[in-house]
Amino acid sequence: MRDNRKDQLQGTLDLLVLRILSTGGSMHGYAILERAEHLSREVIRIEPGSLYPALHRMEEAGWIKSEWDISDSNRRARFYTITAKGRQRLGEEKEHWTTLAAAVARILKNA
Amino acid sequence: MSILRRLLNLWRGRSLDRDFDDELRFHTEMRVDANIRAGMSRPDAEAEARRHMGSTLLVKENMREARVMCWIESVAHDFHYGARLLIRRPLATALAVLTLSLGIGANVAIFSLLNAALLKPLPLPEADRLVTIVDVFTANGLTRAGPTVPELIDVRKMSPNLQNLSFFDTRDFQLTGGDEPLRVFGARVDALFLTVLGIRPAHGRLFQQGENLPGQDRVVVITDGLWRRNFGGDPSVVGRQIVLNGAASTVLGILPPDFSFDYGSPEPIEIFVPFPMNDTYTLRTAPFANVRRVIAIARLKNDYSIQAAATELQSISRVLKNDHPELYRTGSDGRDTGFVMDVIPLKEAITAGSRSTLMLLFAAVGLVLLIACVNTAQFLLSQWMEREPEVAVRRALGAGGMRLFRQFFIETVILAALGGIAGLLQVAWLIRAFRSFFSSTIPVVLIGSVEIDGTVLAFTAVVALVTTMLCAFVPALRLSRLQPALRDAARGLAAGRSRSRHILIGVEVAISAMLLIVAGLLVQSLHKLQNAPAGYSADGVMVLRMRMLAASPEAILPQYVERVAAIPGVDSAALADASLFGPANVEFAIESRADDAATLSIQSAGYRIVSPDYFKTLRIPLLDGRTFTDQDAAGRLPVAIVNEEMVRRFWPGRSPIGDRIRAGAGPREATMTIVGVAGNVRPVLEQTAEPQIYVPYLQQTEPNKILLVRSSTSNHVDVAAIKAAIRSVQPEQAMFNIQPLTEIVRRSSADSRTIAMLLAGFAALALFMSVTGVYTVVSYLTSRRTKEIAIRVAVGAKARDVLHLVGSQTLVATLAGLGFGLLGSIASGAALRRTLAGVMRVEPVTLVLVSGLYLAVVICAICVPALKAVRVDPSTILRTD
Repeated sequence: MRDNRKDQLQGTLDLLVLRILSTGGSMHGYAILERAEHLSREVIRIEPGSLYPALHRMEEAGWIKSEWDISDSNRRARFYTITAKGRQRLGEEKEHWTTLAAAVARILKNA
Repeated sequence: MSILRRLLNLWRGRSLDRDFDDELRFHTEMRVDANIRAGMSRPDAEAEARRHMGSTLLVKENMREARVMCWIESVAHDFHYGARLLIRRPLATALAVLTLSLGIGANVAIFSLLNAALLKPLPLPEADRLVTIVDVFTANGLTRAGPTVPELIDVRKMSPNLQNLSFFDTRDFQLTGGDEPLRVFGARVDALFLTVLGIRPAHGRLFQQGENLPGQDRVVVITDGLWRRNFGGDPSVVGRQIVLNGAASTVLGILPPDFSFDYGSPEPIEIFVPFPMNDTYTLRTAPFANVRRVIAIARLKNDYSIQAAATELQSISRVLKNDHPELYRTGSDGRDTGFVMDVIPLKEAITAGSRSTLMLLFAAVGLVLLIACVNTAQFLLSQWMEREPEVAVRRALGAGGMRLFRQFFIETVILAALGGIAGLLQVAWLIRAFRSFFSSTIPVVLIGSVEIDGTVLAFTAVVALVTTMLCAFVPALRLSRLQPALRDAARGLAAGRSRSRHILIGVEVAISAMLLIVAGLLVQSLHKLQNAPAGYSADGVMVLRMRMLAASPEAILPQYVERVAAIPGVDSAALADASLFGPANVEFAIESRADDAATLSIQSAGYRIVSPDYFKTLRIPLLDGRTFTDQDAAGRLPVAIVNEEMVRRFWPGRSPIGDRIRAGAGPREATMTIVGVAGNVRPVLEQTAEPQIYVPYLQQTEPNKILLVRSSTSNHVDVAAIKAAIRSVQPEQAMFNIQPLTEIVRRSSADSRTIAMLLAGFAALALFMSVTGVYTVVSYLTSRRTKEIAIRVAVGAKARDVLHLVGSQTLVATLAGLGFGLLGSIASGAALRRTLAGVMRVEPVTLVLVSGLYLAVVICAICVPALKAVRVDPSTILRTD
């Protein structure tokens, strides 16, 4: 299914977003982005240009849902939460990533 | 996100855009805040945030694509999936598509008729401004009488707004100069007539003012059809002379090929001549002037409404009533006839007769479509329930109901779309058939516009959409109640879950039984009307039309009859003034009893001018008195024969012989002494006869004649011999429309027969559909329970028990449906009797027959799949699991 680079990267981004949303509550795009940077110790930098289309695509696929609300800074923002289907997807993505990472690690070690 | 919002998103791009803008602006603002907190100045912070965000245009584009593409992809996926599922059951799918296409096709076909007859404008320029002017006599319920020529002349004089007012009447013409005298059907028109209709000539010119006047009226305008058929399409005919009714006339112009006109006319008009505006017709004092012979057509000015025209005509009517009280009052005490002139849109006047017929057919096809929908719903239901395990698992895994519904919906859309396309193909074929079938229900003016146009296509789309909704309704309801019941799903058995299917069967049976009974009722009624004694015998009678030449004296008529009667094989021959049946349109009064209450109101009767042997030729019995003789000629005592119905109404219990009546207008209005009573002649498709007055042909002048020739054997008389006999008296005499009387009678009921047959066809279609519906359901239910049946058979159940198991519910549903259907048919039969004359009461025999037929067919539909299930060896089935 995931046979090209774009899908590979997309899958990774989906995995990160779903994982972050799965830890709790609803978050807006900015918070998701900050959280990813923070958790990866500033190693992973997600461009807003990739994040937002991905969020909308994932909502369309039914993995997350969104609603407009007032943020801490008293501004209107769109908040995302993960759905049951999204959690299921997260499981699949996680498994896929672990398999892939292990495979890559094996190659690096043994080649 | 709902499907609706998603669809809205597709075109409400702007508000979606604002949504994206808001989201991205929030992100930018947060970034600016963070930068300022990190110590940047505001301009620097904002510049950094902009760099960080990149091109918002591009991001938004990607967001929109994520939204739309994702949806399209999943819809495409559903389409693919749905199509695959449908292909997996090719036979069932084909049957479903066929059913839907028949339902949709029938609806669209009838709609195309409705569209042409009722919705589309007449194929004339600015046709919505065209109106017809009629006389209304409220006192005797006459609503659409033709105005008289003097009335129309007065309207033109009095109303500056109704200047574009014209009129015409129709008649046979005789065209000589060719190999054989030829009969042409034509109209006598006011000079303005063709101009008012908005026609431009293809060659030459139309009539001009003054060409209605004596001395200038030897001119004609011919239609494209006549021009091509008779003059070889030669444009030099314009300006040439032709011989019409024995007089030389100049061809002024040729009309365009797409023009045809038959409003108020028994057949399309082929030749137009000026209406003779001489004193005979224009002066109220002239003998012929007050005959209601013409149809008036006017073109309203653009700023002049129909209401304004009606108001103006009302005030003109008041003036006319005051000026000519003798014409608009009646009886010895001068009672008001309630005369008022009214205006009706031409289109409405033309289609008034077809409206109820078309509505009836439309209702019938609507019901057929409903059955088709129920059938498709059954099909989809079984399609889906077979996948119930899969659906249940998917739901358990979190697939949204909406998502499942969409997939289901798309499957239905595929079916409806295929059905719609197949239906349209049928329509193209049906329309061609309709054009020849509905020759008199839909006037020729309109028949050309029966076609698949934008409106019809739009209607098809709407029907397909409604069909989809209807088909999807019950299965969707079922689907929404489906719980993620894995236990059930694993077993793949859904006993007791077939209630909705059985309700659907009941609905189907109810509708189709109702259609069947109502259609049967119409066919039966028609058959009865056609075969009931009509009071005359049409077998072996040949009918010819002819028009007396101006040069021929009246005295020639007895010679015609004599010579024809002398032909070997001819039993008798007679002349009459018009076809066998005509409206009761002549007012009469019984002279000797002017004060009799029964005769004080206005009475009307049919009026026929006949030769002595008319009654003998048509086998109409003479009940009292004598028939006419050739001694009843001009200058002798005017005499009349009346029919039984007239005696029943006006001379109850006594003989009218010797009483005097006055009837007709102009020179026809003479006091006549009744000399005989003839039997009633029941017109085609009428239940009862109207009062009828017969007068002798030598006492009344009428140039249009029909010749009736009865053969002494069962074979018809040789037409050539008849022609030869007539020509031996008058070589110039043309004869036309030669046909057996039985054929005329048959043709005058052809439309009713077509309609009855169409209804019967729809009913048969409905029966077929409901039976396949029952069959589908029973075989599905049986297939779901093969294992259960196998076990039962293994432990000793008989075929009868299995039949009871799978069929009892279906049978109950069928019986319930039949009950409702019978009630519905009795109700709609009563409604039909109120709107259509001659429809019989629903007979118990019909109900029993239809119910019996139904049960037999349904039992077959139950037995076939059930017995198939019984015959399978139980061990094979039980071993498969």
